[in-house]
Amino acid sequence: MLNKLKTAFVLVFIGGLSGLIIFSVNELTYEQIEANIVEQEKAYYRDIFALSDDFNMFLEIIELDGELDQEILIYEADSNGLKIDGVIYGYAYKDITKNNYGDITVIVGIDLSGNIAKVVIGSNNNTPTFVNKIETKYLGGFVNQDIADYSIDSFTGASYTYGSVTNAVDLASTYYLGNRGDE
Amino acid sequence: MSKKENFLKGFFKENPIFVFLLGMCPALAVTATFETSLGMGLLVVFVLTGSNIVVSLVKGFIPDQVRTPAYIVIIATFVTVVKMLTFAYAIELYDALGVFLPLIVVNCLILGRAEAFASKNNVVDSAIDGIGMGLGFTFALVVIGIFREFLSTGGIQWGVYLPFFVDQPIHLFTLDWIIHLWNDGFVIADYGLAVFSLPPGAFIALGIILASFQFKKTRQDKREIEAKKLLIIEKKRIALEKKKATAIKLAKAGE
Repeated sequence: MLNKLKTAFVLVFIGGLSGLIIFSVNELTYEQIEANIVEQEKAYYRDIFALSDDFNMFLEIIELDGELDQEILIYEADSNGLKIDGVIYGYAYKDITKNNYGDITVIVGIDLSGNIAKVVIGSNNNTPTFVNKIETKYLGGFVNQDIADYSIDSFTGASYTYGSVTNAVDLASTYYLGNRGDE
Repeated sequence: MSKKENFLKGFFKENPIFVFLLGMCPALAVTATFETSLGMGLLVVFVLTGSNIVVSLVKGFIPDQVRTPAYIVIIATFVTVVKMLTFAYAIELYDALGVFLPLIVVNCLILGRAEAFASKNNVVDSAIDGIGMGLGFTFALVVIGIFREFLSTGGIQWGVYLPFFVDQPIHLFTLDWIIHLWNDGFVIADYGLAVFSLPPGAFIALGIILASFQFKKTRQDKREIEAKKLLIIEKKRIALEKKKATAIKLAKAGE
């Protein structure tokens, strides 16, 4: 009986100590993690809509049910971080998907005139050199094209990364024309 | 075993990947690039060293029947800490490693060292073993990572997943500049062996590297055997000469 109690006590002690350590590290890193997530997200939209680094941004995120994951409305925020109604800078559509290289997030930005502002590859597990190649050589081709009538470059040896991008643009176009096209 | 031998054994003689084939999951899954390989390796060094130290400290208190679950809890604690720190301070690496970061918990190298070494040795030796084995693991991952990234893209990048020391991603090495001596518009990445960045490429790359490692090891073993044989022949020769000399002495004494 004493042996069993000793075993239980040792396990409880190890578990408790582990919990305490994890709690402490969480307290230490929680704010940084939250800030990282928000900053990473905002950096994408600054890049897409060519906004300056000191632009005060408010994001209205709408979760979608279909293949497309999120619709994000980019507003200007006041000094308290609250949305300034009516001052919208554009729409962004986020497609989080899996391809043969791993996870990939593609964000398609559409400006107020219904043109593609920019297409950005967000967090992904794809080979960085391939992602760089797609970003530098092919994503520029989408900029300023009408979302209702755009053409997609095709090239030999198209990678899965590029396939994910073209799919995200198609999904964003379909959603935008169906829901926001007349705004 | 001296402390130096304890530290160095993980690099070649007892390398976890090239010799014991331990921790193959990350060796195949996150070695598509040099940076992810290095990142995973360093995280494993931290977890392995930390868990070895703690296991060595508490080895006397843990009853035998709950040894493994207790070790797993200790390892999981370190992995969770590493996960949070990576998420907070190296988010690109965190994104790149994805599910393989929490999976360090079930890396058999870590549990293996806790069971085989840390639970039988003192804290200092366990820490040295953790650092040495971890660095040996990192060395193996980096070799595979460089091999795969170079073959698939024709270059090695820095700053994409480990954004330290540089503002923008840079090429540590690329074949472009050599080829640009003859052809300006050529981009080596367009002609890389893309298969090496994919899972099948990981198996092929590991196979090639293991074969080279084994080839070198077998040749070294053969040399050692040859040297031993030569030593035995030399000893026999010396013994025979001694025998002859003794026989001659005895014969002379008899005369």
